[in-house]
Amino acid sequence: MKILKSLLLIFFTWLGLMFIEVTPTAAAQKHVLLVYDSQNSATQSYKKIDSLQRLLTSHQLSVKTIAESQYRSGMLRTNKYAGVITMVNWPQNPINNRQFQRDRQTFSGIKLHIGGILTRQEASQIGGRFTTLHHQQLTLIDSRRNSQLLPFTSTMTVFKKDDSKRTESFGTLTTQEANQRKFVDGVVRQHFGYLPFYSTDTLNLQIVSQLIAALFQTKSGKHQPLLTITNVTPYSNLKLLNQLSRDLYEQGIAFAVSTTTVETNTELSAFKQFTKVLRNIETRNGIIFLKTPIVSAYQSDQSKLNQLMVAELTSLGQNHVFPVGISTDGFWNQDALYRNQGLKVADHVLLLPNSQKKHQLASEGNSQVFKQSYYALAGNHLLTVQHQRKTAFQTPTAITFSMPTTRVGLRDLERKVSRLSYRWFNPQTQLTSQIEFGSANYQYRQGNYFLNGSLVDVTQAGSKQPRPIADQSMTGTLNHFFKFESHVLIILFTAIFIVLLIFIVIGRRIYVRMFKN
Amino acid sequence: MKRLTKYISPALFATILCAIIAGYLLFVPPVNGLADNGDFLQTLSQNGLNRIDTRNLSYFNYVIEKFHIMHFYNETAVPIYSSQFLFIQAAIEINKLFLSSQIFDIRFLGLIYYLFFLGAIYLLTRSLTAPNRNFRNYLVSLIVVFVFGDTSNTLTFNSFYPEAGTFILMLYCFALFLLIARKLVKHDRLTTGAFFAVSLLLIAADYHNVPLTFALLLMSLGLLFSFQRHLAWVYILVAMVGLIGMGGLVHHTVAARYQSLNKYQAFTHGVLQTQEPSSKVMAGQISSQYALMKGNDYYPNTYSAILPNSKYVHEHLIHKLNAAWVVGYYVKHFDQFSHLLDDAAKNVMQIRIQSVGNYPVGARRSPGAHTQYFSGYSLLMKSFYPRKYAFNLLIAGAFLVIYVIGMVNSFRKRDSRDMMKFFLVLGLLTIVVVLPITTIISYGTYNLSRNMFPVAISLNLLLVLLIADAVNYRLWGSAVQRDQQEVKTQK
Repeated sequence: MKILKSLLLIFFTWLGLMFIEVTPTAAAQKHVLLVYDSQNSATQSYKKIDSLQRLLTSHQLSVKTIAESQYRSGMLRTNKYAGVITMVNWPQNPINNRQFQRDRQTFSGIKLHIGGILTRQEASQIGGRFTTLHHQQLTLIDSRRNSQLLPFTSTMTVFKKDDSKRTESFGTLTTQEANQRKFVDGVVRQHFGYLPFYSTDTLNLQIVSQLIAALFQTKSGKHQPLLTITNVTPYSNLKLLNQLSRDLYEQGIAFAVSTTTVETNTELSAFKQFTKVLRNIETRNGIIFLKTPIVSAYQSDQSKLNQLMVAELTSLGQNHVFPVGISTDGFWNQDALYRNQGLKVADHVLLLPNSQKKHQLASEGNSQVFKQSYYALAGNHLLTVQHQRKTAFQTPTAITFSMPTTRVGLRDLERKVSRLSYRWFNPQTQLTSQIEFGSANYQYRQGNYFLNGSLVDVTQAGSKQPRPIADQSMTGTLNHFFKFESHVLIILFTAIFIVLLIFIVIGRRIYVRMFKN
Repeated sequence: MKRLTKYISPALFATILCAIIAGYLLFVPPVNGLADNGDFLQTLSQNGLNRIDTRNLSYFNYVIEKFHIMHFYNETAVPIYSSQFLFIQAAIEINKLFLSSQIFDIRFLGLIYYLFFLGAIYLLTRSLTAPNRNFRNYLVSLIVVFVFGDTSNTLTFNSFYPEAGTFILMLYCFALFLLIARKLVKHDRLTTGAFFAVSLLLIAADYHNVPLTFALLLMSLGLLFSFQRHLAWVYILVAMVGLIGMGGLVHHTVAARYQSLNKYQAFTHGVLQTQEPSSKVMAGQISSQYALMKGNDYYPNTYSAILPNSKYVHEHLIHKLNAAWVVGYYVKHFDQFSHLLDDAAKNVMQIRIQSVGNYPVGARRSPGAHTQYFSGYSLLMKSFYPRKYAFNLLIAGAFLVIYVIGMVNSFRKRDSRDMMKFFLVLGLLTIVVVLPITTIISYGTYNLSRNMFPVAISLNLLLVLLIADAVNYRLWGSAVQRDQQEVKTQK
C-alpha cells in the first residue's frame, strides 16, 4: 500500500512538473540597453538606430533605447540588462556623459561599441592592433565572398586581422589602393564587441547580425527570407495585385502581403472586392500581414487603438481574410501605447522601417519580443550586392518590395524577384502562427486557416456577411415631428403661393377690365 | 412718452438694447465666447499670436481668454490674408496700448467687433424704420434686437472664427444699400463708396464668402438705377469689376491653398454620401475602391489606412477630381444631390458652432457647456424652421413675387430708387438659393452648418425687411410719399 501511495505521489509530482514546464519562462528574455550619442539628422542616423532596434528584436532581444545625454546614473545595472550597446553617430561632436562611462566601465555584461571614438580602454579590452583610416573608400567582403563597395568614409578606426583564437572576426574590409590592405569589420572577444560602422545596407546587416548572434549567444538559426509585398492598401490597384499573386503562384513562389485596411465602410462592395483579392492571395500560397494604420495624431485614449485593431481584424475575418501576423513601422514596438494596444494580439510581427516623418524614432520602455519578428529588408538594396549567393539569414527576415502602381512596375518587380535567386520561406510548411483578440482566435497551421479552432475554407467568402446598418435616428419621435412639420409647411406654402398667383391673375384681369369699360 | 421718442429713435433704441445685451454677454465675467476647434491656429500665427496653453483640455471645451503676443520673427506666417486680420490687428494695438505688450486678451477683439456691430445695428434699424417714430417701428427695432442681437451671433466676437466678420459686414452691406434705396442719406456717393468698400471686405473675410460676390454684383446692378449720370455708371462698373477682382484674388490665393483639402472632402463628404457609392464613382478613371473613403477627413483624427495628403492619393484621386467631374456626377445622380441639399437646409439655422464650449475654464462649467442667454430666436429657428431645400425655394419665390410687384409699381411711379430694393432682395435670395448648391459641390457636407452661415443671415435680413415693409405699408411698391406724409402729420 505504501509503495502504491509513493508511486502515486511520484506520478502526480511528475504530472505537476510537466505543467510547470509548459508555462513559458519570462526570465529567458534578454534585455539590452542601446545608448546613442545623437540622431544626427544630417546623416539620417535615426534610420540606423531604428534598424538596430528592429534587428535586435528579431534576435529575440528586448531593447531599451536612450540618448547618452539622457542617461542617469544607475540605469545600467548588471541584473537588469544582459548587455549594453554604444552607438556613435556623430563622432565630430562627442558627448561625455561621465555617469554613463562610469556605469559602463563597472557593468559586467556584454558590451558592444558601434561607430567611431573608440576609447583606449575599450580598445585594450578587445585587444589586437588597430589603426585609424582617413578618407578611404572600402570594400566589404563577407565569409561567402559576397562584396559591396561602401560609401566614402572620412575617418574609421579598424582592427587588423588577428589570427589568435581569442578573437572572432566578421567580414573583411579592403582598401582600394594598389597594394590592398585588409582589415576586419566586426570583432568579438569574450563579451566585448566592436563594429567600425553601422549601415542599413544588406551585406553589413548580415555581418552585424552574425556578430550579435555570436556576442549575445542568441538562438539564431538559418532562416530563409520571406518575400513580402509592402505598401498595399485597400486603394491599391487590385487588378495588379491579383495579377502579381497569380504570377508568383505560377512560378511557385510563396509570399506575404503587408496591407492596411479600413475600420469603417466595410459594408460597401468596394470592401468585398478588396477582401476577394486578399482571399485569392490566401489560396495562392500567400499570407497576409495586417499593417498597422498610419498615425496622424497622437491619441491619448488607450482603448481607441485596440478597438480599431479589433474592428479591422473582425471585418477581415468576416470576409475570410485571416492575417497571420501584424506588420508595423519599427517605432510601434518602441512606444508603450502602440505596442500594448496594437501589437500584442499577434505572435508574428513584421518590423518595417519607419515611414512617417513625424515618427522617425521612438524610445519608450523595453521593446516587446515576439515568437518571431521579421526584420524587413528592402529588396532593392539586395540587388547591389555582388556575387549574390543563396545565403540564409541569421534571423527571420522579410525581403520587401513596394506594391507597384503600373503594369510596367509589376513586370519590373517580377524580374527583380527572379534575379534574387533565394530559396524563399514557404509558410505552408514552415509557419504556425496565431492572432488572438477579444474572444476570437485566428490560427494558421500548414497552409490551413482556423477560426477559434475550427478549419475555415478561405476559397469561399464568409457566410456571415455583415448586414447594412439602418440609419439611426437621434431622437426618433421629435425628428419625425420636424420632418412632418417640414412637409406640412411646404404644402401650406405651396398652396398659399398658388392662391397668391391666382389672385394676381384675377386682380390683373379686373384691373384691365376697368379700363376696357 | 413723446418726449422719449423725440430723443430716442428706433435705431438708437435698438442700438442701446443690443449694447446692453451683448455687452453683458461679452465683457461681464464669466466671459462668454467660443472655444478653439483647432481652426484658430492659422489665424493666430498669421497675426503674431500664439496659445499659452497647448494642452488638449483647452481645445473644444473651454474659451481661452489670453494669448501670447509674439515678439520675434514670425516663422509660421504664410501668405494668406483676410479682412478679419484688420479687426484683429486693431484689437492687438489697443491691447498693447491699454493692457500689455506681452499678453493679448480676447475681449479686446470682442470690443472691436462689438463697436462695429453696434454701428451696424444702428444703420440697419435706421434703414428699416427711419424716418418714422411710431409704435410699429419701435416694434421693428425690437425684432431687430431679437433677431440680430441673438447670442449665437454675438458669441463669435470673442473668438477668432471668421463668422464674426462675415456677420457684421453683411449687416453693413444690407444697411448701406437700403439707406441709399430709401433716400435716407445725404451723401449718396459717399454711401455708395462705403457699400463697395464693405463688400470688398466681406468677400475677403473668408474664402467661403467668394460665392457672395455674385449676390453683391446683382445688388450693384440696382445701384445703376439710383444714379442718372453716366460718369456715376462708370464708377459703379469699375467698382463691380473690383468686386470680381477681389473674388478672383481670394479664390486664387487663399482657396487655392486648401484646394486639395476641399476637393477631397467634397468627394468623401459629398459624392460618397450615398448608400452604395462603390460602382457610382467609377466614371472618370476613379477607382471604385475610393468609395471606402466615405466620410473621411483630409486630416484624419487619429489613424488611417492611407494618408489623404500622400502622393499616392493625390496622383490617383485628387488630381482626377474637379468641379466639372463633381457637377457631372450630381447631374447623373440627382436624387443624391437633392438629399444633400436637404442636408444643407437642415443646417441653415444651426448658427452656433455646436462642437465647442462657450465658457472659460474659470467659470466652473462642465466641459463644452453652452450658454442659453438671449438665444430665443436661434433656438426657435433651430427647432421650427423647416428642413427642406424646397422650402427655401418657395420662400425665394414668394419674396420674388412680392418684390417684383413692388418694383413694377415703383417703375410706374418713375421712382427708380425704390426699384433698388428689388435688387437687394434678389441678391439675398441668390445667397439663399445658390450658396447651398455651390457649397455641396465645392465642400460636400463637411462643416455644413458653418458654410450655411451667410444663408441664415440672409434669411434673417429678408425677414426683418419684410416685417418693416409690411408695418410701414410699403410692401407693394413706392411708399416714399406716404412716409413723408406720415412725418408731416407727426410734426
